[in-house]
This record gives sequence, structure tokens and C-alpha cells, in this order.
Amino acid sequence: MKIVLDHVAKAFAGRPVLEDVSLTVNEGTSLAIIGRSGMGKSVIARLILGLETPDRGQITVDGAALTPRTRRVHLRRTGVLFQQPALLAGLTVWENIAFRALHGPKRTSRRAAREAAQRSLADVGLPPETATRHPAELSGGMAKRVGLARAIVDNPRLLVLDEPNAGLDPVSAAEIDTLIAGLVATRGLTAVTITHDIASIRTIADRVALLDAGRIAWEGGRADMETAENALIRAFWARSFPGPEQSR
Amino acid sequence: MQALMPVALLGRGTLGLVARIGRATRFSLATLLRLPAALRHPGQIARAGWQLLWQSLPIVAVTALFTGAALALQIHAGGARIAAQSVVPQIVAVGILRELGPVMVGLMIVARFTSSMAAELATMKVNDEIAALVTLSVDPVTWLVAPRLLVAVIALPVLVLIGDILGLAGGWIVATEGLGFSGPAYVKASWAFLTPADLWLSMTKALVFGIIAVATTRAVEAAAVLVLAANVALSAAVL
Repeated sequence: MKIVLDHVAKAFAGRPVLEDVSLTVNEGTSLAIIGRSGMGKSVIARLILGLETPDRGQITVDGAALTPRTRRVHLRRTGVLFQQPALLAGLTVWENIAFRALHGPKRTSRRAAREAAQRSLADVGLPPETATRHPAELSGGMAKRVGLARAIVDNPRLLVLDEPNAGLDPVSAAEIDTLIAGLVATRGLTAVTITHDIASIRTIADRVALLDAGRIAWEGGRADMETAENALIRAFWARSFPGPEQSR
Repeated sequence: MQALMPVALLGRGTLGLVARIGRATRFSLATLLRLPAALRHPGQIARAGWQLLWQSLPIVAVTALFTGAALALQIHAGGARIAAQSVVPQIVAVGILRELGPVMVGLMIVARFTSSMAAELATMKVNDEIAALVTLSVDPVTWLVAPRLLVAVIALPVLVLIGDILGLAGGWIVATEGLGFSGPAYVKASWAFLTPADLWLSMTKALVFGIIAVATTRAVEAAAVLVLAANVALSAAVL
């Protein structure tokens, strides 16, 4: 799936967040969007999902414009892992994973939905008995895995991951990163990951785009980060952040 | 310019109020249109039924019982000033069915159900659960709000009917145990005085309050005020 953002701008309550973002995510590419907090990285994710519409510019998916009308079809081919795993509290783990199959417009039998959920649970390395537990009974790492299982259960072509290892200890974070990288590679998915974690970028991404001051300030391959001259990229690489005047 | 400041403030406040009413109306209509689709989510309907009907029943029962008891005491005390103590059964019956039953139940539901629903929806929004529903091809209003509205328009009349009966019982207990009324005579006087219109007004109010309780998910205070305002409007319409 190829995603193109063409001169996209977005403001909230009159405050511009994205001023002019142009970005291409080619089929089968795993792109990480990095940037400091509050720069609008998650807004890009929401725009790609069609949860927000651009004030200016256009987003296309495989050459077709993404609009509120085409969003439903787009989302059927897209898996999402939110920063919070966003699991529904009243449902069991397997019901969360199979949510679209159980409650969406094109439903399958509960048995088929549960079998698919069990397969997905296995794909993210969780034991079968997790299926009947509730989200409140899961650790942060397990909840992320369940969120990931829900994201991949319908065999999406695009995976959108918003801070996939946020709130996890370094060991669990690395496990989630490795799991995501493996799923993206084996399934040949296109992936967009919102992160500011350099370890995630090293594990997950082929390409990296830096969002700064409402624009893509730098874009390149993961390996290019090491030699990039952009001050903020260098700071990311060094895991320290310059002041705003140094980043321009 | 300073002199025009109050006018500007009044205008801004009015525009804000109109905008809020507009949003609430649009949200209510959108929810009403989704009622048939809500039938596709029986689990959500059952959950809302459990929350609204079963979990609200104790507080509704206790409130109605005490309200009826207090009303009987006050009418008896007030009636004594004009030698009209004998009208306690009739006034309690009319007061409970036409006004206090539906209003007290409506306010209890707003305090309990609307506030918990508002908190739940706010938490879900913060946790991206509402966005997750959209990405999973399920309309959040159809999943979260429409089942509650469907349950509310059925459950509120049931709860109000229970509240009416218990309110009347509260009045009966006080009147027979403390005010010297005979039990069968009290019931007979109440029954003879009531008309079907009293019950219809009670149920109509319950239906309207049910819609208000669910549609006003953003402000519990606004829902409570709307319940009271709608109560006056409906009473005035009938009288």
C-alpha cells in the first residue's frame, strides 16, 4: 500500500500543528516518523487513518484520495496499534482481537472469529489461555501484544503504530519492537511508526522522517541518520535534544 | 468601547449557549437515527440495561419511598392549617404521579447513569478507545450511545412506574402508621382520585427524561436542568 501526503496542513482551534507536510510511504516500506513531543506526529498517524481530515493538501492511498467516504475501505486494510492499547474493558482478550469480525459490518461466526483471534495471539507470542482474560488483568507489555494481535488479525496491508513501546520497560519495549519488525518483514506490510525512541527506529524502520515545526525537516534511510547533518537528527542519534533555536 | 462590554459578553454567552444546544440537538438526532443499528449490538443493550435498570433500582426505590413519606407529612401539616388533612391521599397521589415520581427518578438517573456514562466516554476518548472503534469499522455512537438511549426510553418509564408505586407506598405507610388514616380507605381515596391522564403524564415525562439522560452526555448539570425545565414544560402543556 502506497501512502502519499501532499502539502498537508492541519490546525486545531486555530493553532497550526502541521503547516506543510509532504511525505511518501512506498509499498512494503517501514517508515518511522520522529520528532519532539507536541510536534504533531500522532496527528500524521490520525490523518493517515482518516480519523482527521487535512485543512489543506491531500492524502492518497494507492493513488486514490483518502476521504471520509473512502475511509471505511481503507481502514479494513489497515491495522492500528495506539499509544494506549485501547482495548475495550468489558470484553475478553479474544473478543477485543476479533472485534471487527464480531461487531463490524461483515461478521463471521463466533467460532471462526475466536479461532482467528487465537492464531493472532500465537503470532504475538501470547499463550492461548490469555484469550479469556480481561484487559484489566494484563500487564502493559501483554496489553500491547494484544493490541498488536488485534491490529494484525484481519491481515492488513498497512500497519500504523503510535508509540508502540511507550510506557514499557526497556526489555519489554525491545521485545515489542522485535515482534513488530518480524511481523512487518514476514507479512510484507507497509508500516508507519510514530516514535521518538531511537532503539525502536533501529529495529523497526527502513526509512525515517523527522517532523519539526510543522514540516518534514529531514527524510532518509535508517542508516543515513548516523551521518545526517540536521541538528535534531544528530541530537536524536545522540539521545539528547537541542533547544528550539538550534534545531532550525 | 468599555460601555459595550456587557453587550459583548451577553452576545458571546448567547452564541455559546445556542452552539451547545445545537450540538446537543444534532447529537440527539444522530443517536436517534442509529437506534435500529443499535439492535445489532445486543451485548451492549444488555450491559446498558443492567447499568440503568438493575443497578439504579435500589436508589430509585429508596428515593421514591422517602419522597412519598415526606410529602404525606407536609401535606398533612399544611392541610391542618385549613382543616383539610383528609386530602392527603389525593394530593400525594397526584403529586407523586404527575411531578415528584418522574422528576426524582429522572434526577437520580441523571446523577447516576449520565454522570457515569460521561466519565466512561471521556476516559475512552483519552485512551483512544473511541478512535479504535472507528478503525475497527464500528461507529462509536451506534456502539456506545444508541444502545443506552434504546434502554433509557424503555427503562425510564419502568423505573418511574416503580418509583410512583413506591412513592405512593411511602405516603401510605406514613399516613396509616403516623397520621391516623385507615389503610384501605387511604388506597380507595387515592385510586378514586387518579385518572389515566395522570399515569400518561408520568410515563411521557419518563420517556423525555430518558432521552435527556442519554443525549446530554457532556454535562450532568445541564442534564439535570433540562430535566427540570422539560418537567415544567410538560406540566404546563397538559394543564
